[in-house]
Amino acid sequence: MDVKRLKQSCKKAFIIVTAVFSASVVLLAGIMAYFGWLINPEIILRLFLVYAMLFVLTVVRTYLIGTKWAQNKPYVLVNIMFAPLYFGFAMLGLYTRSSFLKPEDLLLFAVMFVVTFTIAQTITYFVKKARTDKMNDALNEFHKEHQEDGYEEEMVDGN
Amino acid sequence: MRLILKEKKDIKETEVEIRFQEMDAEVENLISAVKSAHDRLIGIKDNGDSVPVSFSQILYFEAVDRYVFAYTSASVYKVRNTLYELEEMCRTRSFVRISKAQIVNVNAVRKISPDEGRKLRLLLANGETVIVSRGYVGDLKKTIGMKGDA
Repeated sequence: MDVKRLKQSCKKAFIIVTAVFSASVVLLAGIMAYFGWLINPEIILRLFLVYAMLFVLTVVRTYLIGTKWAQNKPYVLVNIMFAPLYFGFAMLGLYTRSSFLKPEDLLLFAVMFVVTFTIAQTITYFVKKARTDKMNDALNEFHKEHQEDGYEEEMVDGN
Repeated sequence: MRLILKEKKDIKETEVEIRFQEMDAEVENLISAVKSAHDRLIGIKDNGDSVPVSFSQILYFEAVDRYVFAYTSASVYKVRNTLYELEEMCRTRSFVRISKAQIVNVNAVRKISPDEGRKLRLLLANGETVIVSRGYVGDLKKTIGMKGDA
């Protein structure tokens, strides 16, 4: 495991999760104030725990994105892999705080979310790929034009 | 052949003047050696040794903290120039800025693929991948002869 990359992943995940956590606390406080409800300390604790789990998940995701394996795969693959997990953790927090959501409803929502997300990501990817295919054609032309001053692989001994 | 070396503190750039009676193989070799030296920059190895590195062997430059590194397929060299200086030096050499911290050799790019947001992923000759920030996508497109708009 690359410790430097792990540290960078932790830093990046911390920034993302802290921003989203702060936004959700403000949103929650706004909703509670609007309806005149009292904030149960348990809610804050659960929210904190959900975001702690989301932090761990984001660290793993960010670390995985930097691996050679992920770099050689379409970027949407990691998104599609992690989307159900993010959804699961978010629903976990919501479920414990709500009595109106039944487990079968959650399962239905999860399936709908995963299917919609996967289709949307796949379509977006292919639209973007069509653009980069044109760029690859231009790149090949560029390489042909610059064959003389092209890239030379360095020998291992440095010569 | 006489070799005359003069140190002049007041000049900004090293000057090489070759005086010859007749253009022969020796003079041509000399010109090619000088040109080849101009196409190189000094890289510092891990052990502190300074070695000339040809621009055509460099995959990309990267600024990490206060240092700039040149990456080749076999080694990583620390270079004394700033990224701005390198950008100027590489302007005519098929190098392009792809992020605040990186300049890539377009001749070493094997494939372009999409990445998150409006970023791009470049697969380099050594199998490594670098990311083009969305603000620099237009520059890359211009360099490879496409319209500059991102």
